[in-house]
Amino acid sequence: MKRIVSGALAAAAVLAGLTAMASPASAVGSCDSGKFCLFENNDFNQGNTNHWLDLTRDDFDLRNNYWTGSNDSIDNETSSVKNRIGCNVQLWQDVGGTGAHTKSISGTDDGFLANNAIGDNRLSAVDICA
Amino acid sequence: MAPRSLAAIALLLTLAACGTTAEAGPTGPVGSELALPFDVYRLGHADESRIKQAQSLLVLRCMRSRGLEISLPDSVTAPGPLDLSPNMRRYGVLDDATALRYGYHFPKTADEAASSREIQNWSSKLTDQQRAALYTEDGKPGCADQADTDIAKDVPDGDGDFLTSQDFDSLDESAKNADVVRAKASWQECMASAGFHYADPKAAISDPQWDLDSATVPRVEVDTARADVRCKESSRLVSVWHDVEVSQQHQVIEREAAQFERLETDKRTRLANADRILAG
Repeated sequence: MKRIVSGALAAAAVLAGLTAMASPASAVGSCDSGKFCLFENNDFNQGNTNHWLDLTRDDFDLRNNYWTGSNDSIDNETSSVKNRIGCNVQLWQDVGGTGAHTKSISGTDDGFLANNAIGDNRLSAVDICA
Repeated sequence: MAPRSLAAIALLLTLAACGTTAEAGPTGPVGSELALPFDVYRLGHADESRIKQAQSLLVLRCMRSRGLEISLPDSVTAPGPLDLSPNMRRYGVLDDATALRYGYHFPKTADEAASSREIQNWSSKLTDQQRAALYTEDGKPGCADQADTDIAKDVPDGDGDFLTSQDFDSLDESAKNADVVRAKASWQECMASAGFHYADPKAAISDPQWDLDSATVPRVEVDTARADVRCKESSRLVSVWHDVEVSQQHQVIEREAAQFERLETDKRTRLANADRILAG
């Protein structure tokens, strides 16, 4: 049984000065230790445009973030995730960490979020190691 | 209202004028006041800790079988506010003490943030070999996934996202209930009379002027959040909404009895597997 998470994550791009990420395009589907990785397409972008974003800290408002190296907004477009951050990640329905919530279990992947509980427009905040 | 010392008043004024920095100790409503029928079908903190202990043991064994040693973060931790009250943010900010200290920011303590950084630091220092063994890559199961599979041994097949889907749907559907809509209208009127113009609490916390990831909490955010809490109280929005959800969730449990029985079996089986693993 799948143990992961649901839904489209509007990932947080992380402002300048925060953790990681403004690097050249990573290998398709890669996700380094210490990161919670989001991919625009199913199956971690395999065979697709390599739009990705890695999180290494909380982001309680995911509305204004963009795929790394792109002008495409992430909002409601994440289709797969990998949790390599070393802990569970709490995913919240609404900004500020409000509404319903669910967990991405540490060390697990979800290659197809489209049919999951969160779905479009239902994930707005990410709480790392919650 | 109880009289306050001059020092306390001065402190509040200073914080209000300069913005506050989120510090220790969120407060909030008692967890039992917000309990919902779906809650019992999830693992509580103590149960999750048992499973995490078992998973850690499995990961260590798995890594050793691949010729690698690894130290893992503590699997047993003290319960945090969300563990004690899983629904504490379900209807937004609910108590004045939290609104005063954190505004609309998530009430994370400095200790929690430090613990989170420590775990991430551990994760980022894994060697390539440890990482390759721990995580699933190119279809080859990693030790973390393998541990999860072992804990789930004999768990009945089913939709792994069923409870999450129902939980999210419950909040969305209950928001449309006529009593909840009326209570929200009352909240809106209350907020307007205080000079805050938002359609509902979600609109208030979603105001793009807030930077909910900043270290400081501006006074205007605090004032808005505190008004939000006062108006939730005067409109009885939270108690009305909660009552509607309780009723709704009971109906779902009755309608989807087979699915919820499966969830109970799932939970029992995982815990039994964890206990068996921990017993050696």
